[in-house]
Amino acid sequence: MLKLERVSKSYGALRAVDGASFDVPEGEVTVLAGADGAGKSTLLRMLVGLVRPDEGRILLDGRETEGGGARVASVAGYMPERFSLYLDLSVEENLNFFADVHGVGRKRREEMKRRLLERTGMEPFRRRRAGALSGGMKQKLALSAMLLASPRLLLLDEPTTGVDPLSRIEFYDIIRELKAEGRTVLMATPYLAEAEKGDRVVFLKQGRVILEETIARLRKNFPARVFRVLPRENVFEALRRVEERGKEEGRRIHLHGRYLRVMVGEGEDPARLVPALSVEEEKPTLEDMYLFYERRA
Amino acid sequence: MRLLYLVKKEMLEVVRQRELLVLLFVAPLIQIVILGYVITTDVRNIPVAVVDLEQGRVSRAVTERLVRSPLFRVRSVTFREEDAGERFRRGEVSAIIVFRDPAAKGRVPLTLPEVQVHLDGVDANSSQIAAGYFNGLIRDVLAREVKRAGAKMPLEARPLIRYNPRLRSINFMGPGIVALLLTILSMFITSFSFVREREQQTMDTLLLSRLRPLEIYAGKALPAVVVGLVDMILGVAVVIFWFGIPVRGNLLHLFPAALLYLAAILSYALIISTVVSNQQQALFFTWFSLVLFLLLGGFFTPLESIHARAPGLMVLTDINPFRYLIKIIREIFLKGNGPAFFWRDLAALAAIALTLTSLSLLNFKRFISR
Repeated sequence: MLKLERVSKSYGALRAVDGASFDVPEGEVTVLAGADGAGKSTLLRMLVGLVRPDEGRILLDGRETEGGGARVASVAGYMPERFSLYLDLSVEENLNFFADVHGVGRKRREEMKRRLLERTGMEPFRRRRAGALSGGMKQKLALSAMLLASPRLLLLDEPTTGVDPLSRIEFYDIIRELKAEGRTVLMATPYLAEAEKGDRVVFLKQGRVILEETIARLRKNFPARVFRVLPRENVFEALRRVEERGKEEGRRIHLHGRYLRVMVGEGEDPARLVPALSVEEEKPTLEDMYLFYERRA
Repeated sequence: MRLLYLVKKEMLEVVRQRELLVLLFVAPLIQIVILGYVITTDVRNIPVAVVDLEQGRVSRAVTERLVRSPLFRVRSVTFREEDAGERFRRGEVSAIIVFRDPAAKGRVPLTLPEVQVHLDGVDANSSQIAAGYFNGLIRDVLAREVKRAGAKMPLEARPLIRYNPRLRSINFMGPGIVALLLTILSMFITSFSFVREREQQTMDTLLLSRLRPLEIYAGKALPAVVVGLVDMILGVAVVIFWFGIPVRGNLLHLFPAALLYLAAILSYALIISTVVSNQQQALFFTWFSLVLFLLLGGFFTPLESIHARAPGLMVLTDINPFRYLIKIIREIFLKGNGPAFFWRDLAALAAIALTLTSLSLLNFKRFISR
């Protein structure tokens, strides 16, 4: 549905997005994953036309969009990272305003509002001031506002940052429903565990795309095994010792609570890297995979 | 039509903030009433000590006039200069009037003036006015004495004061306060507009909506126009009904001037709103501009005296829209003049409005460009 070709954007000397190319296929949930400052937000803002790319092309349904993404914005709903509705207005007033300025007719607005408030469980809070909502409810309100205009494409910038775990689960249930309705989702997140909810991931590092793959294929082809290792000595000490041995070794190991997660190739023994009290093999998570590719990039 | 959605939203936001609502409509009324009493150049009840060394007919005549005049309050009549000097130093009186004893001529160092007036120059303005009153009073007594003696004064000045015959300074200030009301709130609301959207992260929401940039711009200015005009009408009502200031002209003539003026200052406030990075800065800039508008607009001091003291500042007064508005309002209220008399001021306002609106629109384009 959406295709980016060598899109770049610099702010002064900083290359926020550096020749990024990837696809957002119709009807799938694509997750844009990367650390803070990797360029996720800038990319999304370019897609809706809030930021003009310095170079590159953005194609919507195979047709180039002129001057950035104004045309994308006409079919997309964009939910910025920070809550961007009016705190002094009630839930309903926010929804009404959003519908009005997006040209949603009154009849359709009422119908959509009823459905969205019901679906998000916000019906009892209709009259509550947006400023008095919890973090999770704010996000649900923002999502509802975005959905009023029935966009085909949803661009979500860190939609669950600062949201409690229960609301997160609800939020992803809604996303799943939206996908089932045939909508396309592009979601940026720094939480790799959440990326698992998607169909595809695009890993970003310092404005560059370091990997673009379906999650199923990523799992299938992941070239390393992951072990949870309880080191014999203090965990920080153990980590430092490994890192001192060189970059290559250090890249394969990272801290995870009281444990170290160690990635090794087929047939290699993790205990050879760290003297261990216990070693357990685990299923690689997306976070492991991100770190694996990020450190190689 | 879509523009109205934005106006409605802005109004809802204003109404939601109760404190702001009070600020918008109640505070100005309190201000205008207080300002009406406080901002006055009328001098009344000047405390005076009389030192009557002469103890003659003339000195008694003058003292009597002083006692009767509402302008002066005679605190003491003494026959020793030292008593009065002490009260003067202590600030109990701000003027001493000394009648010299003609018989003592040659014994005191100051021989020439038979009547001497000491004024406290700390409050320069009041002293100057007081000096004028004294002179008038003494001239009057003098003229009478001359007539009594059977002689004729070679010339007599009879100033005839028009438009504000009792020289009430509220008549001069009141219309100015109406201009002030029109300015303060509309400017504050507008200077907050965009920076508030930016602080709330809602600017993008607006830009991504179907609202065109011009609609966003106008949607921000219109509520302030409404608030400004409502405040102005409230102000006019208070000035007329509370202070009893006469309206000699057609009040409808206020509206074209008010609208041009609003176009100018709201454009200016919208520029402030796009260049500052938070609402505190907007508040500061607006306050600073407002004070300049007043000082360089003839609100307190006549423009002629600014011109005499600092000709360089005249350029600033020429581009100050407040100056023209206040002049027009005074013309309508006090002189009963219509546009035929103040079309030049209207034209100047229009030119300033046009320039500021263009600058503001260009600036807005830069603000929303990516």
